[in-house]
Amino acid sequence: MTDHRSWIARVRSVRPPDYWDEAVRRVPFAGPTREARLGRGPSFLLVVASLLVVGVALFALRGLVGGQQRSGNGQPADAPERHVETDWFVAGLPDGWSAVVPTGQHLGEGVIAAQLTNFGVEELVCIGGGEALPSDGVVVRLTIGSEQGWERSLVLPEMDPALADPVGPGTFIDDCGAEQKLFGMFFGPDGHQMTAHVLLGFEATTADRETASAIVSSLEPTGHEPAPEPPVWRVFADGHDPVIGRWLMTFQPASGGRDDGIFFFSKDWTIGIPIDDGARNALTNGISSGPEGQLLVIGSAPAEAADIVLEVEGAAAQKGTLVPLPRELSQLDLVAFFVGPFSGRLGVEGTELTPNATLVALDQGGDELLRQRLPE
Amino acid sequence: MTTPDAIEAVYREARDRLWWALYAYAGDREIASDAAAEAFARALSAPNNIRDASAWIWRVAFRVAATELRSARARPVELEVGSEVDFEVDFEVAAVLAALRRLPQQQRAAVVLFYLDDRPAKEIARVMGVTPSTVSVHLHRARRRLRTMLGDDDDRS
Repeated sequence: MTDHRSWIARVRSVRPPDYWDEAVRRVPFAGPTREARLGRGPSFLLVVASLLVVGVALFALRGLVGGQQRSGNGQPADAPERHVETDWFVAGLPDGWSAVVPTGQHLGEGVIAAQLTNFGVEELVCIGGGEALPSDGVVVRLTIGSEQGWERSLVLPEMDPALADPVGPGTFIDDCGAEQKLFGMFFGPDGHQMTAHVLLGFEATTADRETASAIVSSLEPTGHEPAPEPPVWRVFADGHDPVIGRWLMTFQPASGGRDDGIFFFSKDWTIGIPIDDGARNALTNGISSGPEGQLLVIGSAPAEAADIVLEVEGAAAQKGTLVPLPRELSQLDLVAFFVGPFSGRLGVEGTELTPNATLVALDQGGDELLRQRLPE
Repeated sequence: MTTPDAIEAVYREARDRLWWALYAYAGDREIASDAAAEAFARALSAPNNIRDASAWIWRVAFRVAATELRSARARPVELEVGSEVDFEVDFEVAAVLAALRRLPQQQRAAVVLFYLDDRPAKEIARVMGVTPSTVSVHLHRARRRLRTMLGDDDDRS
């Protein structure tokens, strides 16, 4: 077999069946009914993923996070632990969060999980996550005690994520109408599997805290196929970059045949790269376009790397920000990094880069460990 | 919004391509046929809610196939040359499917959509729910592995 055309031709030599009649026959049973038939319910893991996105948005909204990172000289910076875990929720949370109370509720065919926690001294924050397809009508309703706080349809026609930017989560912020209330809708980074979330911060008295124990939300009709094996993302670093703004790096363990992955989130970039054994002795990387043609590179390098330098033709070299990948997350002994942004253009489906750019990994002594031309 | 006629038009236009892609992705005729039929059934059950029928159907079909593959893992089937698993495919097809099956799921999806359906990375990213650059990484790695397994010297990028 000498080229790809050969194996394509072989696959295409198999005659497909006519499955239209079968599709028509199934129409009354499609969607939620099929879910039930297969014995699958909506996935909490998707909610976990969605909650992470909420966490990311929290960073952007509230500006309360610092960073556990090392930059330039490769030395770790002192930073308080801000990662909060429960049995099913893992996300980076800003300072000031003193409690995480999972209060998941199932309603209808959909699923919603909500959390209430202190946010600073006077505020409560509730985070909800649910799943729905782009075409689903989603209503999220907040109830404080017996009083309905507000109700809102989350999915507007023009927000059909089939047409949305698949690169990053969309964020829509709205004022609930009362002082100091923020309402955020965050759409999952996967673009096609709409994930609706709700974020609310409000002034709260002690009595409010006692009574603000219920979030009643509904997702309808939902019940469609959830995204395959939604990831559980572990936040292992976050920080603020003067150019990029607030950022977050997460680790997604291998599942469903996928390799481990490292993801970078910021306001303008969402980049993910798979890592496997081959990363132990290599510079892996992913590049993504941001605003005004600016490109950002993330990647992994062997743990000996103390500096990552991006050499771009015709521009000054840039040093990257390095973050050790915690050993409890991966045994690969790597550092994750991001570097940029820089001006450039990705062509031919992301496999060519103009101008020429090269990543160089240096050890503590400044000696070159690895060099790799982008985007390979 | 989409109409049943539009969905049927998608079927006429994409019937074979979708099935081949699913077949290569799943390595299983039944899963391919089931996922394809299910995607169209879901589209037909709520056409008014769909803006881009073709994109929607491809996404759902791959999602259904991925789910069914997960279910099938309880009864793993290693498709090999000469296997009796699918007696309707010839040896060379079986070899291709076996090689594809050894790719991680994401790499397999990327390479199938790229080669069998000629989709650009941006569209593949939408189907897979990842970024285009991630697709490029998956493609690069898939090519490398396929080259090893099949002797494929392809360099299309």
